[in-house]
Amino acid sequence: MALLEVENLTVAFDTPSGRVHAVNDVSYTLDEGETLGVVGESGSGKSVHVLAMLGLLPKPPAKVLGGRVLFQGRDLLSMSQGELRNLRGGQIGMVFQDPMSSLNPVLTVGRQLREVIERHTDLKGRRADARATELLELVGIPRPADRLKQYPHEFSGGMRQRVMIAIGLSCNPKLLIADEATTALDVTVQAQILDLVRDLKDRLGTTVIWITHDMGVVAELADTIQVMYGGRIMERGPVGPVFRDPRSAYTWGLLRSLPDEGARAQRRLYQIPGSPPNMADPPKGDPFAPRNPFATPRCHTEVPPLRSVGDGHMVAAWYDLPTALKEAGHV
Amino acid sequence: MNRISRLKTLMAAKGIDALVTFKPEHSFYLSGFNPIIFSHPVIAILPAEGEPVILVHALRDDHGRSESWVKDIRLYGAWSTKVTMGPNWQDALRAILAEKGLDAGVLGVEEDYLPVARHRLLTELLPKAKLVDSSAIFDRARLVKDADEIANARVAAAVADIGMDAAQDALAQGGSEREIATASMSAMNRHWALHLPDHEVADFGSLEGGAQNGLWTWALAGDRMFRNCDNPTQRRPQRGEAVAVFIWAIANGIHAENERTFAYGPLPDANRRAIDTILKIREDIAPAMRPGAPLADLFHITKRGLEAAGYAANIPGRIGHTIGLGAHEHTSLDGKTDVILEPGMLFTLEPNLRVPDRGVATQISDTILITETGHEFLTRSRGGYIEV
Ligand SMILES: Nc1ncnc2c1ncn2[C@@H]1O[C@H](COP(=O)(O)OP(=O)(O)OP(=O)(O)O)[C@@H](O)[C@H]1O
Ligand code: SF4
Ligand SMILES: [Mg+2]
Repeated sequence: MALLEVENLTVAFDTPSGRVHAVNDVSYTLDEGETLGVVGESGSGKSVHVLAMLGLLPKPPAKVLGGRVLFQGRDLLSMSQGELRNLRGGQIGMVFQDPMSSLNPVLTVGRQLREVIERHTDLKGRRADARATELLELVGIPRPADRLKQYPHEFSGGMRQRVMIAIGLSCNPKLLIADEATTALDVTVQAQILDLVRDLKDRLGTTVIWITHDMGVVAELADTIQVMYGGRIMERGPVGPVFRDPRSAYTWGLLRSLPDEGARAQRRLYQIPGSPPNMADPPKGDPFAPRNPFATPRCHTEVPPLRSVGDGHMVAAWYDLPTALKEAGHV
Repeated sequence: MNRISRLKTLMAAKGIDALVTFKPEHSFYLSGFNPIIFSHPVIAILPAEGEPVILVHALRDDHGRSESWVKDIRLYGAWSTKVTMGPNWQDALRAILAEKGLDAGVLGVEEDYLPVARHRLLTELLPKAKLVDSSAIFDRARLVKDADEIANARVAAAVADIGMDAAQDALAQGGSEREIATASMSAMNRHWALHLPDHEVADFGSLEGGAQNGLWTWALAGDRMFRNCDNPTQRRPQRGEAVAVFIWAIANGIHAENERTFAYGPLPDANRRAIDTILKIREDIAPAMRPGAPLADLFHITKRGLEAAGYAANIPGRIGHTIGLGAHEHTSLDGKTDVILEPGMLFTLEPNLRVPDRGVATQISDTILITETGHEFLTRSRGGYIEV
């Protein structure tokens, strides 16, 4: 069953240097229990698209120009700030990057966890404390009862991120949205946190949107991958098929830049040539066309719609990547 | 601007036809213009209906026009080629009020600020007008901050946090009270110089001087904490002493306060216990800082906590104050206040202890914003027991 239906979401920022088209006509459906990995270069609209649905963008300069976002059938975009506040941290848990600025350094970790629990559940006082202890345990923090009495600076970076995840999970959210939640962490801690999220999915059936730059993380964690570029979905589908048989030249480029054991030994990391589009003056057609060696004339003039190329596998492209690769001698 | 409509609502309730302000904080509040020096008054006039007008000395014309959002700026005095309403502000003010049909109206003036001589002068200047006190109206309007003021408070708080980190470093290096203070002020100023192109840090001056820079730090070591506010000395903290650092920062006219007590080496048990008690009380207060809650609750929670910890004889008179245009605005966090918390209120949270006979003192303060759902700590320096 669909938990989240995003329909034609379009978001812009009105800035002194013009209108920045951050998210353009994004539509997708997320089923209950599904984990969606959202990838794309910096500025591709990953964060803005979730912030828009959560009502967390500053307006102005942000403006939602169109679309609907149905969460359990109700449109998030037409909810009041009060309703959204109740959802955020309740049915929808969030974990963002940079726990030091999300956690309050002035209060103990316990006080902060308890506050979220008391605001969004019926648990109060001692029962809220017990739940806070349980949550720290859940995210793998040893001696949780002692830790609750400590301040954020007494935690390591990885532990603070775990606390943020604990806060994100504190109300048993139906949907957990994580934006670059492990980007700042070292590889070992990142692996532990991914294990933890996988475990939570299995045990609690949580639906997850995991935003990252890292294709490797998506491969490990997600059921579905969604590749964004220039505020648009370029490709979307089950992780296996998309990784094996990418149909967007952009996805293909991202995958080539992914270091695997063999690749690392043989050649330098591949980088997609060119630079991201200027979203204040976006290209007329497919935003990736100017950097795409396989672009057809039509790519430069007309935005391609998402079309199906297999079971749940969609691509926005006028060209056929497998054919193009063959012609270019890549296969 | 919401503050203008808040003031107009309060004016209507009191039957005031216009506010005539001389207080630097208030002319800034109504105009966005801080001339820094006030020896020539800046007079802002807010009619019950219509837009504010400001009357400034000709030599402040260019400055006023570039900083104020008020469109109707009038001049008095003589300076260079400027065309003014006349040589003095008295006649110019009378002319503006007559022009607006307000010279026989009820005029709100700041009795908590105006020199007696000036009040007498106004009475003689405007014989048909009735002068009433506007102080309470301003205090009430200033309780809730507008979006621009909140944004500035955030900036001021972030600057104060930078100052606190620098103070902690200077203390760790064995600095004197003065070295701690100057290191802190220098870090704040450096940040201002490099990263805050659009923020002024001028404070509000008096009739005889101005405050170009309102990024203040002072430090008091050991028993000097009992002085609460004093210019720092060359005294160096001794091991085992508590050292309090006090910071007031300002950004575009809005203040933030940040205070911490550092343990310079392990503290005696009595001092440590006092700090732990205060930290616990702050945690207990946190859930009560939310819209709809009585401000007095914060004091009562503190009182109960101190009594339970055996400090019944040392209950402070108040545990904080509102803050904004003033580092100390007029509402106190005491047991008597009838203020109910609303989103946009800004105050300092500073339950603290002074136990002179045991040489025990704590000084911890943060700037708190009440939000739609609860509160936000605008100052975010490290919390807890901090030993350097
Ligand atoms: N407050 C803002 N004002 C103006 N433009 C903004 C604002 N926030 C985001 N943008 C613009 O919106 C576009 C999308 O940004 P977004 O943050 O969603 O990118 P992202 O894919 O999350 O990138 P990253 O991987 O760097 O986090 C970018 O062009 C960005 O510059
Ligand atoms: S000036 Fe630079 S280094 Fe100094 S506090 Fe500001 S940001 Fe940090
Ligand atoms: Mg982002």
